[in-house]
Amino acid sequence: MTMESHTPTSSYMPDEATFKKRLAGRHRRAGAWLGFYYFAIGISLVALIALFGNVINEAFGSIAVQFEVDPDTLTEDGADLNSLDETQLAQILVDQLGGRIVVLIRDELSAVASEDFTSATLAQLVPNGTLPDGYEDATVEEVRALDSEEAMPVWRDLIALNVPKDGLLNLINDQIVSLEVVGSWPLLEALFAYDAPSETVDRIATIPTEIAALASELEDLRSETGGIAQAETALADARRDQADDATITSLREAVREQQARATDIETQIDQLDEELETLEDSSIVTEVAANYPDARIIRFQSWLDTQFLTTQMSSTPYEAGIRGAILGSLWLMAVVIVFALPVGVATAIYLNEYATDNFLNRLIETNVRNLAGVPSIIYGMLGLAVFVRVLEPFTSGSIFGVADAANGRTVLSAALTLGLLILPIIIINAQEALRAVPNALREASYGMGATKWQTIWKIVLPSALPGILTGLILSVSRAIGETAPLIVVGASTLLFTDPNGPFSKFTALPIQIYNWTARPQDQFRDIAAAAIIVLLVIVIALNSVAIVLRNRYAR
Amino acid sequence: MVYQPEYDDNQDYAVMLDDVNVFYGDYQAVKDVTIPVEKGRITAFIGPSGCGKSTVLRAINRMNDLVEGARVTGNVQYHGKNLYDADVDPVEVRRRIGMVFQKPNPFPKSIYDNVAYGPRLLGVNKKPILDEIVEKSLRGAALWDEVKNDLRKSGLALSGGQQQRLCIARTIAVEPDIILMDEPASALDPIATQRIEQLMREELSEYTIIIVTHNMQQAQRASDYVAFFNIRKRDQNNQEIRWGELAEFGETDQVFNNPSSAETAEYIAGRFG
Repeated sequence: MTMESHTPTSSYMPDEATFKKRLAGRHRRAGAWLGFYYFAIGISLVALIALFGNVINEAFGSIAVQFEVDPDTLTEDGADLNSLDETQLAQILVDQLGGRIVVLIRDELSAVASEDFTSATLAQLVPNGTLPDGYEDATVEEVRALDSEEAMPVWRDLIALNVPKDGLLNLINDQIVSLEVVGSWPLLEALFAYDAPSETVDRIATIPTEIAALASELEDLRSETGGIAQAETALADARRDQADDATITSLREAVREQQARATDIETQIDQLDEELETLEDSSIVTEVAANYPDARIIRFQSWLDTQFLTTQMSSTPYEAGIRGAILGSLWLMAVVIVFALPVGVATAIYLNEYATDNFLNRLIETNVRNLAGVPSIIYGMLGLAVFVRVLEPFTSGSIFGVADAANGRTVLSAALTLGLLILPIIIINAQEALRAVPNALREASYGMGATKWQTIWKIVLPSALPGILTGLILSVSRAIGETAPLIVVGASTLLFTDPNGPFSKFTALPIQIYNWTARPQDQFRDIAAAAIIVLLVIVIALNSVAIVLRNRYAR
Repeated sequence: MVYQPEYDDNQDYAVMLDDVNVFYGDYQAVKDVTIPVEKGRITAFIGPSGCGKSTVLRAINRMNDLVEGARVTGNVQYHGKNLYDADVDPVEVRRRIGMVFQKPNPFPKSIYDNVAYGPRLLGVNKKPILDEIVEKSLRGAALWDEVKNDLRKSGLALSGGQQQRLCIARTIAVEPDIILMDEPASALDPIATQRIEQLMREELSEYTIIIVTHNMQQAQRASDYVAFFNIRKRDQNNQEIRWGELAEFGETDQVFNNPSSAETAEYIAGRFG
């Protein structure tokens, strides 16, 4: 394509040919940069997908479980336990536990102290409950003295009438079924390596017989009357008889042959063992069949379920939940906001609206910006020294008479530490938001006869609010994922009570995840992944709120 | 010598500027400005860019206080009181001397809340009274008929000309003595400009208005008095300086038809500025 220039070209401009050449070069450079942008976004996408993929892969997958008693054998026709009513469930407990049912009632149901248990009447055991007819005033001792034909229905009715169905199911699971997770596999294996093809299964079945055949051959060969012994005897005989060299050489050769044969068989057995192991490991089903013949496989098990969200910590991964961690994180978030928002916004208002441009104020502002870059663990050290140690009477609540023993490792200490951590970010964001409020609005307000405070409160702050809140939410979502300062401040790793206020001991989601990933058992990594999903959901939800806020108020 | 307009010592002026100087730090922006502003009339400040007319305007309601390093000397006489005396509260000054800005700047609130903002600042919070003030002010700014059905709409949703009239309504809602207008029509189209000029002549005829404008026709059409500012670049000793001065002041007809100085005549004729 040629385009004739209609205007005279000045001598500074390149001639037509040079222009064309350079134009091609300019397009090439533009193309190269575009390629780099694609590459960059590709890397980000791959990283994101890998992150989510890895977490999801761990949090879902197959497990193999073993029971002391198979739940299917508890009912006559193998019916699902969930479909039974309370009396039937209680009957199962009574049948399976026998006399131990009384212990269960003492530990799980009774309202009286255990030393008074045997002399208490049933009505005293469950003060507001419903009781089996005719036995209201019978004591535990009296019922126990009855013969079991008569006593068992009483216990059964007592349990059935006073324990909700969920509780009964839990009791059956705990006391009778005693489920144990013996192995777990990630989602990808559950999807693609669940079952082995039939030839593999057949091969797995034949290998042991092959090994057995080879082993017996080897045993024969090495027995006192076997091939090796015979050859050795023949050689010894020949030597004693002073046979000629040729005979001895050939006999010696025969011994070596027999020994080589034995070594060969050993190698074959080793190879078969190895093959067997590889084949067994190639799928979940074969692996479980080989290692845990009594276990049952649940192909798709989600570690993340309502039970996981609502139960307390436990030292067994299958029973562990993150209720305490979620509550701890929520409490932290609440206290952080209550502390950091007013302080941060007030600082930003001072710096932006009141501070004159002098050395001191410039120094403060520069330092605020520097503090935003200080590693979080250093804030943890500060929190430990100041909030946990020095201010212990205050942070433990003992000054207010809330806590019995002074222990500064509380929600309040951690929240103040995290609050300090995000304070610079809140200040910087709030300053940006305040700076973005047009000066024309301030002037208009002053021009109406507003005081400085009225102008800030009624005009500047409302206009800056979306920006301030966006900054707040983004920094809170950073705080909620922080681990290092919480470890230093001293979050509890095993906590069996709910954090219920600023002065309670606490744990938080990232702490829980950190602890679980450090455990050697596989299943802890699975529940860590499930907890990571919960944490990610919270963080993404917070960030979405920030985006919605920003869009709603965007001019 | 700085130009001194004639004025009557015994007359009660709305504002009397007497030898007003404005400094930004060490820099003197305006020197020895003396202007008598007559009550109930429209005074226009005209002059080339950088001559200090806006600076003088903002000195009248102490808006310069908001600029760091700004300083005003001289006498801004208002009801027998110098506005720059130590016991004068700038907040009170601005409530008595309202201001309309170059760019329409309604608050990001509803039309109603924009107009009610000033009264609320002063502690007027009763709904019926506010309703009355809002209607009266919007009528006063010739905006009522256009917005009476959606007072809850954001002030930012109005057109540029409507926004500027909303700002005028907002200003008159606190019942000021004087309205300062800093090029109120420069961001508007000709029809909206005409509405503003008409408004100044009709609905706002009771008010003392001081308007800064770049538009000669506007000054000629809308004002009763004209103050022409010019930039002085050399002092009497031929030293290089740069500040704004009042070059001429008088009734509009006289300044436009029979200017007393050659530079006024040149500026009005469009030969510089």
